[in-house]
Amino acid sequence: MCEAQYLENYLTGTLSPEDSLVMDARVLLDMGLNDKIIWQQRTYELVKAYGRKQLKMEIEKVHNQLFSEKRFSSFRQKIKNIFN
Amino acid sequence: MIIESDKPQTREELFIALYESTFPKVATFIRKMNGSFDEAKDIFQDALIIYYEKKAEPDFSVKVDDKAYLMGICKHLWYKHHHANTLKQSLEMTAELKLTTEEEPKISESILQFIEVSGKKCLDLLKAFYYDKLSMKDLAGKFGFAGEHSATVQKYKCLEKVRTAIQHKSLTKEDFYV
Repeated sequence: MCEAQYLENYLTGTLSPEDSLVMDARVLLDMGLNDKIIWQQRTYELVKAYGRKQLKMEIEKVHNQLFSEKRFSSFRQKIKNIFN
Repeated sequence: MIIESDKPQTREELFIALYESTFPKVATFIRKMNGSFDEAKDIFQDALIIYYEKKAEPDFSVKVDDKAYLMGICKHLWYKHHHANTLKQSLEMTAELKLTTEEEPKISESILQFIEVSGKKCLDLLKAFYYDKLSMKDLAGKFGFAGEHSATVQKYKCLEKVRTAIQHKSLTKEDFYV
């Protein structure tokens, strides 16, 4: 098991109770390890932010399609009527 | 996972279908509340993101149908934005959405852009697993790995690569969050 995987298991609580306790102690003593854990958590946050950004772009693209392409003209008209 | 494939094509079709089925109802609601088209658009798009993230959760199930659920999220977001009477919303919905929409720290755009340039491939792989919640098997297929094992190995290599990169790039928390 590589380090990133081991840290992930630690963070998600899927290590054995014994291994988890050993890690608790190591994290307290080893600042480098402590940093790695913090940065790994930030990596997950970053991946989520990236995922959302990509998804937003996909949704915006769909929106633009719906409000420009001919095949959606009756949908557009329906929305237009609501705001008129 | 209910969204069967992560292919943008399929996701695109899903979003078009949801737009066609539910956006008119959302627009009618927002109009009734004296809101504008732009507000309807923003709320609907935010709701689609919440909907997508919720649906990707492996143990997620809704008691109502998708359109009603999406409509519920939109109403919740509207009341939240307007500090109106949120009691109108079911408590269940409010509690459920809190997790998704309110706990998230904002990552600085410069860090995100830095990784998008320097580690796009890894970021795409990690996103497919952690955000789109693809299975290891689908991940291997999508990214062309021999099997689930090599996909797993590569995923953790990427996790380590991105972690190290952002750690070196930003040594303080202030550089990382907005």
